[in-house]
Amino acid sequence: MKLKEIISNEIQKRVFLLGNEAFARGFIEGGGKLATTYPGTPSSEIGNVLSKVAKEVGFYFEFSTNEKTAFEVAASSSLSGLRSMTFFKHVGLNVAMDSFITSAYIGTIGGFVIISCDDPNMFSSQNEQDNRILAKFAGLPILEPRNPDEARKMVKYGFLLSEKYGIPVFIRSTTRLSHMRGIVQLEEIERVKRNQYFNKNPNRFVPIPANARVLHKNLVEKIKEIESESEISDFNFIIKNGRSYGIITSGISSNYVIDIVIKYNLPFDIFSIGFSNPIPKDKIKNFLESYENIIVVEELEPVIENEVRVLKEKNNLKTNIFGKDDNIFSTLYEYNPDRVKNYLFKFLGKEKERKIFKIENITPPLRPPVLCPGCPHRATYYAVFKVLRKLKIKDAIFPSDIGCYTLGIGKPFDMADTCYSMGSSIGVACGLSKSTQQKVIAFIGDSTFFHAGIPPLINAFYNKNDFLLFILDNGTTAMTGHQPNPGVGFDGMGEVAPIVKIEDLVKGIGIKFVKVVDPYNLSETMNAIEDALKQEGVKVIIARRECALIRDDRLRKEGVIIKYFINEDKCRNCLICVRQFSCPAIYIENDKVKINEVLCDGCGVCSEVCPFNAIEVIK
Amino acid sequence: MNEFNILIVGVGGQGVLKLAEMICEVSLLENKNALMSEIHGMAQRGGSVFSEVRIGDVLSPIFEDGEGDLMISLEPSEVLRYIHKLKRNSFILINDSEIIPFTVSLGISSYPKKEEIYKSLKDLTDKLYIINGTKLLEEKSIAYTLNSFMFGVFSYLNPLNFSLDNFYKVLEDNFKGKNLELNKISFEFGREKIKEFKI
Repeated sequence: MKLKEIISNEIQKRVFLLGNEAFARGFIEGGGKLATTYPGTPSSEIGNVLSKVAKEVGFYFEFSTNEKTAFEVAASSSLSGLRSMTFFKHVGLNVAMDSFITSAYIGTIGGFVIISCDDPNMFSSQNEQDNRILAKFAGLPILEPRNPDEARKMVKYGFLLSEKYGIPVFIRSTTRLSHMRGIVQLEEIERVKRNQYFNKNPNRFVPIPANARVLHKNLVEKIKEIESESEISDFNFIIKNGRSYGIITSGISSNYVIDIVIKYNLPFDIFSIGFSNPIPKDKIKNFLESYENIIVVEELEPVIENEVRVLKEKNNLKTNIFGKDDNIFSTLYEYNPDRVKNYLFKFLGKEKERKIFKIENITPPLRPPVLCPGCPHRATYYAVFKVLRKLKIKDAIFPSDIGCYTLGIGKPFDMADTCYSMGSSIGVACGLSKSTQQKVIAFIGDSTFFHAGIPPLINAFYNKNDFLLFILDNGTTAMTGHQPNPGVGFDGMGEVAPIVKIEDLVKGIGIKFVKVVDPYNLSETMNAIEDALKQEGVKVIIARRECALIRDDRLRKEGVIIKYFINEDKCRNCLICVRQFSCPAIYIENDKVKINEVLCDGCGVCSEVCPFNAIEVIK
Repeated sequence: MNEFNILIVGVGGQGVLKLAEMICEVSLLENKNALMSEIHGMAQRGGSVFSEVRIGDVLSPIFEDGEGDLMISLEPSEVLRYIHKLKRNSFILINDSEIIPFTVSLGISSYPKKEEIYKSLKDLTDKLYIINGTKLLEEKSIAYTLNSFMFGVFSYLNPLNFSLDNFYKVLEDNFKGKNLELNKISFEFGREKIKEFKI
């Protein structure tokens, strides 16, 4: 992260930025005054940057408790006249949905930009929903940047468009854009002082039915007017060489299409769309009229394609349109140059010529994502495993949640049986404890608990459920890159913040069995689990231990190096440390158990796991 | 189309992304367009990580299979996972130090014999460079600067004829103080050790 460059005043300077860093730069250049988020890959770096520079540049930034709250904080700041932005991963929009839809009716005063970072191919998500559909459903203008420099420009343009029409503007990113780096050319940072005052206007800001009817009509009229902006926008452009066929494409897919068409000299003219709702109808109509056959290339859902088909129908055009419905392009996963090339070659009836470089018979070992060495969650899972074995409970069910601990799904623990969304572990535990006789042990992280775990826990207590909930409190939002949360003691501005104590919160609900344990202390944790499983009702164990990566960082700075090794004189090769605990730092070489010194983080839990005390500290 | 495609692969925690970024930054100093793609999330440590770098007049941050000109693998077996991305006779630079994943210890996958990996790679390219940076750096207690070591190896092979000054500039932009000193040592060590390399 090159913070100095992101906030630099050097106009025309070319810097190499991540798509997400470029969104942050766009917010700064555009005179943004308030930004909010709940972290989630692939959106997280926007907030990481804004959090670190907010004070110096002079705007407010917060990590909100969830996306709905983040949305409301930013939307209302826009009503007070400030340029505001909220952003999150695609599924975060589902959380914000309730206010999101109505905010389109209420509109904006200061520019309001919403960035949705979608995840085609599900690199780190539970689904690959195409949020352009949700933005269209709400009735908002949509911008789809193709590269980091356009990410920067579109945030600024979004502010202007939002202010001109009094409507939130939706920017749709994808993992590939958010996590690509490219050259960004800096422009001047706007420093206009805006009126910062909430002027009451309940007829507009309070959508009781009588008002809402007017507001919905206004929204429909606004989006109609905005068609003229899309029509003249430089974000929509045509590359025309008088070729036989036309391609209509958008966002990141444009890059693949343009590269492939040029590289293989394919007979396509290209209409590349960056401003995709409303689509530039006249320009597209003219484009359609120029070709007998047109292909629409867009990732995931046929959003633009369906619009193009409607245009064809309304204008009685003869053009053949090819896309998802013709099985030329798939609605699944991310596109890439290979897929686009294969599809275009197939369309043209051309043969693929490339021979792929292959090595037969030797395959790499499986290397799936795994809990880090020293991860306190591993210790918790191990303790649960031990107690269940001791009590001879074989069919316990483990509702899991969104966070590093979803990796409990892997061997050897197999401790993630369900996962829908943030906070779902607790709602699911309620359902399973009512619908089965099996023991239910649910897992949720601290940040996820604050995000969406509290209402279902109240539900569990109120409806007299019977399960054990583990709140895995590692004092951070780990998987997205260690953002703070209400339990941590500092905030998005980097300032000291009050701490919400999870145990007080849980006790406040009325739950009686609330224990705080240190998962590195296996016997203490196992005793708590055993106690809990003997009781009826909702039981909560808070497993509190800082994230291993934060600990590693802290110890490195303090100059403390702790490493463990296997004392071969004591080791009896029982392999419990390997097969039941499975820390990535422990491995077998020439039939002997060893510890990789580089990977070992010195947590020492394996020394508690070993029945022969064969794992010792290197002195 | 003028393009040079690089793949940097390894295991989470080894510094794959930083190395890719530094190579792009040298390209920018050379006034060449650079694009880079990285995938974050899920695995903080221990998972397979890769990054694609493209230098030249292209728009897509990722390239087609069979179009890679150079791969740097910070771990021997990871080469196999991405070999389909490379052209025949491309540069392959390998850090010869295995990280055995837990799946091997659990017996649900196996780690191939290194000699066999290298033998099959030799059939596919004569630009194969194998060097145990991890081990060499451990002797100096700076194993965590592996990416600067491989940056040094890359700068010595220098397939795009970048100026050495620009490599140093990038190191200076990326590290400060004591850390800069150690990373420079590592970089120079990489340049020196690869000179001794014979296939």
